[in-house]
Amino acid sequence: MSALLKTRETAVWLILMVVSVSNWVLGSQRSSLESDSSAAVLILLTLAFFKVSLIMQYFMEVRHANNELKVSCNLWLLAVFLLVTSANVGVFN
Amino acid sequence: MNTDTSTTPKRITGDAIIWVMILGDMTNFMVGFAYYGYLRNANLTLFRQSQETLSIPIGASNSLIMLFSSWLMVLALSGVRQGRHKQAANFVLGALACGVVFTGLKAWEFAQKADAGIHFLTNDFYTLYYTLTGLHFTHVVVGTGLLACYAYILKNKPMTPGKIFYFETAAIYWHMVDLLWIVIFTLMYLLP
Repeated sequence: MSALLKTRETAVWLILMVVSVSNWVLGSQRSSLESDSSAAVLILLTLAFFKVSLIMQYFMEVRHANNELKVSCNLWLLAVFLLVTSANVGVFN
Repeated sequence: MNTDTSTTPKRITGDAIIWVMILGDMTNFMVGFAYYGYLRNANLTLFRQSQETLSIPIGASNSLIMLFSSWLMVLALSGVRQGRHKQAANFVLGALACGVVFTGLKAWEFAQKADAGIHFLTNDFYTLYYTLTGLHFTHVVVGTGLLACYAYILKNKPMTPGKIFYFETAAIYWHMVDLLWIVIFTLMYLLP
């Protein structure tokens, strides 16, 4: 059981929990962030996609996958990060 | 410390088809997230006022619950690969319980909105809120059913090596559900 817990995936999970709580604390200051909302949007979404990347690489085991899947997932992640972040900071408005 | 829990390097975890479906499904959500951003910037005041009606503690609790369940699925998969089916079944049951708590909290949040007279067509924010969180909710319900099946199977017998990839496929699906909630929570609950 302890060997099962002492894995890199468990360390990644702990990082994910810490980043999530940080996101929560940062996001709870929403009204005070409104004056510089583009920077806050960029930071919050970068943290969110950092977590997405960790889940794909370590939990979904993309880092062990063959090159086709690895490249597809990494390109997909980069594309959607750019699309979602650009749209939410107002690039398309 | 072990460096990883996978058995064979340079292979696809789960069925190749599930990756096509998952990347396609997640792309649909991401287009929705981008559209949300476009509308949000066009109606910033309205979106901020509407966001104030969402409960950050509930959304954040659901994020931590989903992350915990995702980790339990990692442990379950590791247990399955090592032939510890009863231990794996307990981890799956834990992940399943997280899924049930998530759906309970989300359903309660939907009910609160309905009681306040807020619905799908109240404004653009709620149209996207119900569309994206509703679709995600459906994914969680489907995943919870899938986990219940695997908890039952693993409780009764070990998984033969040839069948493990089916369980990997279920785990990949569950991680996708977790991953999507991370972005939904950030966009709808946290953005200033």
